Amino acid sequence: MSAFRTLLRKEALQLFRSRSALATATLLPALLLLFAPLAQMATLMDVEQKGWVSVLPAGFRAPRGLEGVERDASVIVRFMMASLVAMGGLVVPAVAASYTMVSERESRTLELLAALPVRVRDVLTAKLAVIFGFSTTVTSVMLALDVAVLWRIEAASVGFGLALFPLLLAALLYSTASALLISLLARDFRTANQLGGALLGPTTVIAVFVLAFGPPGAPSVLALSAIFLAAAVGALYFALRVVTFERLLR
Amino acid sequence: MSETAAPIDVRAVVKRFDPRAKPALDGATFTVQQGRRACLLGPNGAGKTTLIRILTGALAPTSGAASIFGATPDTRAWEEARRRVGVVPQLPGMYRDLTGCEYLELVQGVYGRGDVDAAAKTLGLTRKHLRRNMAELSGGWQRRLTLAAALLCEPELIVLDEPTVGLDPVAAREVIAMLRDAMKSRTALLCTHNLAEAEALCDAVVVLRDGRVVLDDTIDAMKKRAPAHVSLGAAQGPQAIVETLRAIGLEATVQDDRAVMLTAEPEQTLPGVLRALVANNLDVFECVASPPTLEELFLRAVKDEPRP
Repeated sequence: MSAFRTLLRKEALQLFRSRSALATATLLPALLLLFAPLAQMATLMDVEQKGWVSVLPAGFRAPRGLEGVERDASVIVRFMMASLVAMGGLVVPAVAASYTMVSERESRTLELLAALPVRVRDVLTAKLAVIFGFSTTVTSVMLALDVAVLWRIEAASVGFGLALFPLLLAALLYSTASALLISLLARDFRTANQLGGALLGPTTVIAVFVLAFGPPGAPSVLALSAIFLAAAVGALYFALRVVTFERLLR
Repeated sequence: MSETAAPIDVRAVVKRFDPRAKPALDGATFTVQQGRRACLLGPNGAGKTTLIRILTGALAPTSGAASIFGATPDTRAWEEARRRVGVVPQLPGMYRDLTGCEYLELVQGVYGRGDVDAAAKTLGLTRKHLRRNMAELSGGWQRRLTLAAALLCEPELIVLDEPTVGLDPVAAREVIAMLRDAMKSRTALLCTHNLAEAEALCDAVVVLRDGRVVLDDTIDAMKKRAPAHVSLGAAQGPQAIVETLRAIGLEATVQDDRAVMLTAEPEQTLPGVLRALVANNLDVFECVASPPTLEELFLRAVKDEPRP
């Protein structure tokens, strides 16, 4: 078995033993990608039965991404769905990865791994890969269920439903890259939480802004995916080239 | 990677964490040859742990090169060379969610070889110890576990970063006894503050100060160069000895009811000294010549070397 596979096995073992990491990686996505969207869709079905009565003031001009909201309640469902997918993808790996990586640093167990014939880069990559893999599996299954329901109630086109998957993947990638950056910068949980908030808070606002003011439907979702991908590359570059793994061992 | 290359070769290594601060290592140079058991000594902040981290590839030098078995971390031969090295880190944390056995299996998987049961048995770790979570073991057993991990792959070189620090005297003694066995027939680099431990386990010394190597020699050669410590006792008291020695041109001081003198060649000097003392009617009852301890040699080396 290669050294990297051994590290992956260790990380998987530890992830499945850590109640807090597991809870973060399952409960948060369940809230953001199951309960909230399904509640939205249930409301939409109810509205469609009773008829959509817009309470928007006369002369209200909806932003571009929400065009037609005064006539069609499914516009708001699609907007909320994309926002929740972005938030779900952003929050889950960042919280779980920062938790496991900062705990390794705080408890000085990283010293045990640094003593082995593996590079610190491989140790952290294994950690992130396991969390990314687990988060992607859990969130993708939940999103698949959401998209199936969206299609079933005809609240979204096939293109919009499919576009949500790259958005989720890009958000997960950005979140994982941010987690690496946060873990290199933060020496303790408190700092990690503060940095996480400072990084992910504005990103969520930007995501909602892009979805609200960008072109309606799939194009905005794909544009946001591209922004997340670019941000992931930027965070990764900053973590590896500017901050560097050495910070963990100073 | 060369089979004949020195297990450790450090050439002009500079490590700078902050460009505005003084470097952690400032041109450190030394070699540990095959079979040599060297101790790395130095005051706090001398750069010992940084040097070990560079040697294990965890940190990269700012300039210079540190190689193990002729390979540096930027070469293809590094991974293979690194698998020939066992490392005991300084006061590592212990996992709360991994048992001792799982940790040793991880080490075995990473090295791609080794016998977990044999390594555990060598260090006296039983199944009961291995089934417990690492953090639940006492300090002494935790240290045995890290030693077992370092020896699991039957390394040719072992690097030990303060392996007994934080242990009670009994546990420290047990670990030293195990280290003595482990270091037999291996090349070793032991980083320690405990000079008695270094003297008991090593045959060469590398002294670091302010990131520079100020001494790199074998303990035997250092002892041969340094004067022996001679303690003399007489019924008339140490002052009478000091005065008699002064009369024949030798310097001595009074320490704890004994006259103490330093001499580079005790075999040559002491017969004459004893004859002079007896001729002056002093009732000499003690004459002990002892080589300088590593502590004395270390303190002298650190004191003599001008600060950069």
